[in-house]
Amino acid sequence: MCGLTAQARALGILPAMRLAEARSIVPDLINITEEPALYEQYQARIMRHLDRYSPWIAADRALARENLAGQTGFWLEMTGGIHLFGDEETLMAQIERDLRHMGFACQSGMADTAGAAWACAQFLTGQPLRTLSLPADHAKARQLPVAGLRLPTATRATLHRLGLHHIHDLADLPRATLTTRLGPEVLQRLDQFYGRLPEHLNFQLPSQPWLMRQQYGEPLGDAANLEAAITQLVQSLCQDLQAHHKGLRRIILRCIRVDGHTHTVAITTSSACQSAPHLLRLLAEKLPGVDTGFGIEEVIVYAPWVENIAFRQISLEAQNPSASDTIALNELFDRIGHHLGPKDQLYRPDHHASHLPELAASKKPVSAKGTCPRLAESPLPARPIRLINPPEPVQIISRAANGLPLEIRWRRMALKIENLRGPERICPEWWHYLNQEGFALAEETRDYFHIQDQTGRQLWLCRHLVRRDRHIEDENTHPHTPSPQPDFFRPPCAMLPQPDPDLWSVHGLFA
Amino acid sequence: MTLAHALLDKRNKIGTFNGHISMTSRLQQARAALLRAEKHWQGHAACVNGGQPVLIKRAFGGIDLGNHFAAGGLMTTGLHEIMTEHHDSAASALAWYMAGLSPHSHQPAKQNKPATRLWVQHRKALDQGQVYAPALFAKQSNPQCALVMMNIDQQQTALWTCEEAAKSGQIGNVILETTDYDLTTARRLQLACEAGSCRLIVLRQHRAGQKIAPSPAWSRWHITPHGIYRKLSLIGGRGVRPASWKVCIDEATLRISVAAPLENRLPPKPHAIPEIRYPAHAGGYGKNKGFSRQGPDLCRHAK
Repeated sequence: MCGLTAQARALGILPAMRLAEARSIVPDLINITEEPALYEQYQARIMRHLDRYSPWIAADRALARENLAGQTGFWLEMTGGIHLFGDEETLMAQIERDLRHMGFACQSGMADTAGAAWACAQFLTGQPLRTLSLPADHAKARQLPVAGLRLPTATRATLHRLGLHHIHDLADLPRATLTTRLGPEVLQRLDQFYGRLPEHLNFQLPSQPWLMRQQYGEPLGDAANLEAAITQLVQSLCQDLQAHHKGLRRIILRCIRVDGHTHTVAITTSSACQSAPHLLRLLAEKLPGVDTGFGIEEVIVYAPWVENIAFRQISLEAQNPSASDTIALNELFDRIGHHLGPKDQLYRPDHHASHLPELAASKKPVSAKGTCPRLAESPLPARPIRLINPPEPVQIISRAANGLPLEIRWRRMALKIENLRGPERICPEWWHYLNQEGFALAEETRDYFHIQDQTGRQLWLCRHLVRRDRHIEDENTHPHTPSPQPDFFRPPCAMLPQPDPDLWSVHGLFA
Repeated sequence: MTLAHALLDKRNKIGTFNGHISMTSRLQQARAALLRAEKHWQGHAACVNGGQPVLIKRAFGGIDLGNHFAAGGLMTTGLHEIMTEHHDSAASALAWYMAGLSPHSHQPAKQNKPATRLWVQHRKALDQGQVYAPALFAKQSNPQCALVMMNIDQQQTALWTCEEAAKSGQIGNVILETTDYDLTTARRLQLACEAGSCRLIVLRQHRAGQKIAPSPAWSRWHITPHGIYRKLSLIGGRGVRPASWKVCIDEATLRISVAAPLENRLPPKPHAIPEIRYPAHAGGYGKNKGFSRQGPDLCRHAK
């Protein structure tokens, strides 16, 4: 008999009782055939639910095997994760409430060791907080019953017959006699309870089938042999992926040499890929770097990043040759991207909503979706086709009366300005000047002019304002600050060359 | 119609050209006509891409390009070169405009997915800064083409990338900025373009007065400032009759069009123009020695 309801237990029916015996107590007993599959299903459901508290979950197999009362247990490794839920009390209350909401009765306990936590959850009843922190709660731990040690039923009966009911009865006995009389398990469980022996829990980890491993009795000493081995592994991995409608984004190839040296090649693709020829081509570029040495005895191919793929039929109407195939295009970008050096860039241009021209053009990776080189809703005045960043400073040769340049020197060429349009004023971003007034007159304010020189070249000229009165202001605001230099070192102000009130630079070229 | 008939027919038509076309270009035209006739005969002319026209007959605001190319128009695929200097970015606009040219530009393109364009910049090629992508799409609220850009440090990598992209057949237009390259490289690029039916536009760094290395490009262009306009020159290529036009570039849409259509008016049908005889010197076109590579009627505006 297994899996009793609370009502049945109240009537005196015990787990592992025979059906006839139970019928003699309760004649109108309803019995249902045991369904292990259903049990597994519920266990998996609870485990999926508990995943939200901690990724490390272990089912209590001993309880499921021996205890026929329809109970099950789970261990959660909560080390370092309790603060996410408040404190221990809140966490346990939340777990119990959630499980009760799902329709399961539940008891929880928390302790430093797995054994103590088990005992807490089972036997520390009536306490407001079922936690056991061992050096502090030593007295509480000693009062727990011997059944909290997860001993087999026979051992428990022996202990009961000997009058050893609580843990302190056992702990006070000399250790040597315990093993000879009761077997090694009692001491082992007791040590695991107190944390003197480690306990290995069988944590449920996600299954990772995207790994192919091949060991060779005769080490592969030839690059051609290695290539053949890798080809075979990658092909079988891709077949597996195709069968599951998945594609890999990253593949790691690991070649382990006879002397233990490991060579790892990692490749990331821009879209989920399940085509072996493409992967082999990408890997082939890196394979010359693998040194076979005295031979390679193990090859591992592992896909740590796998995504679902949904293939759709391409519409038959689209016979346009210029419309490109997404998969083939991504494979092309993979090939190009893996060939690039450290200084090379492959990107999709993107438009960032900013008035500052160098910030407006941003770069996104090729695999990024939804990039748009031009935001439709963002206004864009006339912008040059080429942006020189950082701007190239120019020298003003002559100016008009209003301060605008007539002749400039750029790249050692004298340019006579024949046509000048502007200015387009771009102020710095106001949120950098929240506590200051007049941010429009800050030094970062720029004026842009569209100029044309005598040859017809069209440039984007930028003017930075430089506040000439800055030093004077500083002195006025701090009149009592002693000057770092004695006065006679400083030439009179009139002799100082006046700083240029504005800095001019070329920021772009118009078509 | 047999091949011989076609050839004779073409020859007769060519025979009506008299006057402003020199002997060499006549020969070129005859050769091209023969080639076309042969291809017609074999059944695969002008229908490489599923029966669509593959030549651009009209571009740059209505210039009839058919008169300047022996093939009958500008090829939509293959290698095209634009000679440029460091200080002028009109060549970038020209490359972008040429990448958008299609044989049926008057029709809206019916495409499910936007065709991808690849712009490859070799860092040391042009001292012009970066291409500013928002400006390329300034007037298009919904950009029809996806643009991917590359900045590459080594010329070798840049050329390899272009070849790979062109060969793949997935990218319609590749724009490459590079320093000079040799004939072998250009030939490789041309073959890759033919393999993947891709248009490769190369912005080739060129200093004024420098000798231009030969290349198998279909067309070679040059654009220079010319007062308030630009002078767009078709300076070379395969079976090309050189010419130049005064054009202007629309800042917003980056469309290039003839500045004064009347001034740049193209010759009407050959039989309609009055016969002008130029002394046939070995050196060129007699009266217009200064523009010896240009047709006489095309350079009237250059005073």
